[in-house]
Amino acid sequence: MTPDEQLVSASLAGDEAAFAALVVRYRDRLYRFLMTRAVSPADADDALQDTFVNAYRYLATYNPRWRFSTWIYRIAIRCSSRSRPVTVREEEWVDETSDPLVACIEHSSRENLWLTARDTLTADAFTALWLRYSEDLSIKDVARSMERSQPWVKVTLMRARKRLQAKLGVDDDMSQKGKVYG
Amino acid sequence: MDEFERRLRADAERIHVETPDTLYKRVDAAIEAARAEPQHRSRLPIRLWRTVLIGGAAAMLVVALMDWRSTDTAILPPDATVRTVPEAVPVEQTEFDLQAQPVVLTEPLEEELERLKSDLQKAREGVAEDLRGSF
Repeated sequence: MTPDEQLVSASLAGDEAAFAALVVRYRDRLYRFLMTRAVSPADADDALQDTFVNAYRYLATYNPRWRFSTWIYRIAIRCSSRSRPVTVREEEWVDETSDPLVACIEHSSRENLWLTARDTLTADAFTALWLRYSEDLSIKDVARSMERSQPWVKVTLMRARKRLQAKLGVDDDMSQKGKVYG
Repeated sequence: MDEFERRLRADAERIHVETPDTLYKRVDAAIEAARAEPQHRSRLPIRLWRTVLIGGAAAMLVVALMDWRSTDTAILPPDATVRTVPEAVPVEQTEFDLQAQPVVLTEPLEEELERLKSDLQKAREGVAEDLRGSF
């Protein structure tokens, strides 16, 4: 597989197919990421389009010292932040079908931890957690994508994990009590 | 990788998103439109151009100010005499008795300082421990 940086160079040299290859490589990943942040599928669609258009327009400013994924995630975060204000809490969803993230999750006996994370954490904490544990970005790359410092990322991830673990602990206790008292 | 991290990754795998065909085409069309824009692809983003221009203007202003101040010399008429500054009169160096005494912290202040240092050290150790435990 051609490295991203090579495709970027080819694209800057005028090779349209090279940029198209980058789009194909990143569109599903970015769309999945944007769905976790969007209020509706239409918002995610708009953010995805804006991300690739801005990536194309500002491709000349891409610094090869960064990983391309870090750079394009930074653009995606900015585009999705413009289209919606803050985290939408569970009570704001009209029903499950209107929640773009719920619609993407395969059915299981227990709730997907990312739904809990989205309803429990701030938008920034959720984003840091997603980039680290779903997209496998390093702490440094998460910091660059989110335009934050590395210590901020570390502390945010630590606090996010503790909050989620505490929430899971509370939920487990309540479900155990339900079993005991019927 | 701990259990919590494993669960996060496994649950991420259960989130399936397929970009619809209509969205593919929409993105391709938007990129095509961006390609057709005349001279839109500048080498530097607008923000950087703005910074460069503002910086340049500020530098020119500073140079202009320095130049203006350096030419602040009086133009004398031909008959004017120029007074010279007399030589400085030596001043006798005298010893000053400062009558200063070293500051002695009273005991309560010293204790407070020690407590603050201890709190700071504990906070540092706590944060370092938390960070080690997480990563």
